[in-house]
Amino acid sequence: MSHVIENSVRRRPHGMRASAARVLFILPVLAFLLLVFGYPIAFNIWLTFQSYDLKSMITGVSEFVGFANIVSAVTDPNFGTALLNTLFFTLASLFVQFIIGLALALFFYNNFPLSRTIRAMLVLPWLVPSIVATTAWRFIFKDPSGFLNQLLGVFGVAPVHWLTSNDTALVSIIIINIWIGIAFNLVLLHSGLQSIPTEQYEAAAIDCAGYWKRFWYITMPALRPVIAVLLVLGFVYTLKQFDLVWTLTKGGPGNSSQLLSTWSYSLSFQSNKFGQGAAVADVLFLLSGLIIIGYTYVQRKHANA
Amino acid sequence: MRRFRSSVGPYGQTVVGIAILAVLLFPLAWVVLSSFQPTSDFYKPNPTLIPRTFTLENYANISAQFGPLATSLLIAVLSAALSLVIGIPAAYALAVFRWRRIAVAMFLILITQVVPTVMIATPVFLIFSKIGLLNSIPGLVIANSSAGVPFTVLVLTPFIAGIPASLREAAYLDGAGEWRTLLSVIIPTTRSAIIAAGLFSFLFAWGDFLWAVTLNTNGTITPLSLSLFKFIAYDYVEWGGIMATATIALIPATILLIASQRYISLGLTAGAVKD
Repeated sequence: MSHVIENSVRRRPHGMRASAARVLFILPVLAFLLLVFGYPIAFNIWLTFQSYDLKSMITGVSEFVGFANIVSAVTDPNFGTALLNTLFFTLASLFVQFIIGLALALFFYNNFPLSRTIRAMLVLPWLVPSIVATTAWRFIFKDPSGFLNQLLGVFGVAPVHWLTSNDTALVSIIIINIWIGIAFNLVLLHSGLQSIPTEQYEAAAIDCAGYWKRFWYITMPALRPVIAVLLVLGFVYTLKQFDLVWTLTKGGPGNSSQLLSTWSYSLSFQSNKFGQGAAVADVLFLLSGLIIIGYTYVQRKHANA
Repeated sequence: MRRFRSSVGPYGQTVVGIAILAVLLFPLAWVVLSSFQPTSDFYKPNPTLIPRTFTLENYANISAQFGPLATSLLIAVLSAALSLVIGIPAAYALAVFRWRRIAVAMFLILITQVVPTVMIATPVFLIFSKIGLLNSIPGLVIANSSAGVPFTVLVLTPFIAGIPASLREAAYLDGAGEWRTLLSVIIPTTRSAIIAAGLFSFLFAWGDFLWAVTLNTNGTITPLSLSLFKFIAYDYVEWGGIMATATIALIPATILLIASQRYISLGLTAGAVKD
């Protein structure tokens, strides 16, 4: 059937001209993606194996150094710190954002006066420029007289050096990242809830199923595909996070809030070790890739089952 | 599910909802409100949310930020335009043409969402320095559209694919070519999705920090994010000016959110994409 349609399309009289014109639709995007993704990714992989430094920027000359950049990046004590920080940052952000987002999505599932407007306004933290978010939170975390320390003071807690202490810098940035990401979880989970047929709940109500029972046996299973997409995308996007750390601590104090993204950037742009910076960026790309491949694999298995 | 928390009643829920909103928007509210208090009040021992003395002096003092504001607006508008001009025809092609490699093309566009920006930052910096796009508006527009272009394609393709083929065929029968069909049939019917894609492309560029800090090496071009960052980093005392600048930076997002709520949630769920 589809074969017949395809043939009739191909036999259209202006077929030849059309296919030439069609290339024009796709050519700009192809050129653009090659310029900002294709070539740069290839370039980055090439850099990983080159002795590219400040001099090379001018002369364009660099040497093939094999795995030297990868070895020196991975054996650098900062690598372990940045890797663990990145994993902790990503998983902690994801988990808390998801829990809060889910709670809010369930709350806003009930339509009450102004619920739509309030829900829409909640997206604001996610939409504002990251530099505005860091400005706001810098003031809240101000040491020793910021809002949070004042608030803790009421309960007799001594001021915390939020962004300036090794113990709390990363946690402070995670708090900000959670604040930004709640909206993303809320909106996606809310639209997921909307697509669950209400008959299912009505049937359960007849069976006298309580709220939690309905939640575990109807809501959660129905949300599973949305949750999977949400967590995979959330993981990939959180892994990329750069702005917050760079504008608040630059990875410090020490390396206590260093992520792979910020470390890669500072290797390249502050130490001019472009090869090592590229190697660290490769690791970040691989981590995202692994998650995506894992997700597609599980999806396939589900689809075939 | 609807009977969740029936004890509170609908207006009780509104109150709870507003309380949640107040807590989550508190950091931004603080920025806006404190921008109206004199800088000296930022150093008083007990900060207040409502300014003790109301003043506009912070706004009068930040005329230096008008240039960066205009720069950011220009970059964001051009990025949105570029994203739509490149993205719309591509989405049309992917949705409508029967090419064998379309699945591959879609996969490649999805991959762009996974690429860490720091990974392409160094190469783009080196490439741009070679072809003279550092410290230039076109350079920043191109770099920022690296978020907007794939986003536009990903959001629009399913929408265009959802348009009944009969609509397009009617246009063909009327003698319209591919471009004509795109302009007079496809674009009008997918207007909401196009607006959503344009809005997000604008906001990606407006909120950008990484490209601003990477591709400007000599200070000729200063977008607002970079200027605010320098303000904070070098001049950590002018809190009044900092808060006034931050308030200006959050205005576009707020206006767009209020004016185009439904496009924002459309873009969020359709693309499920964030940079």
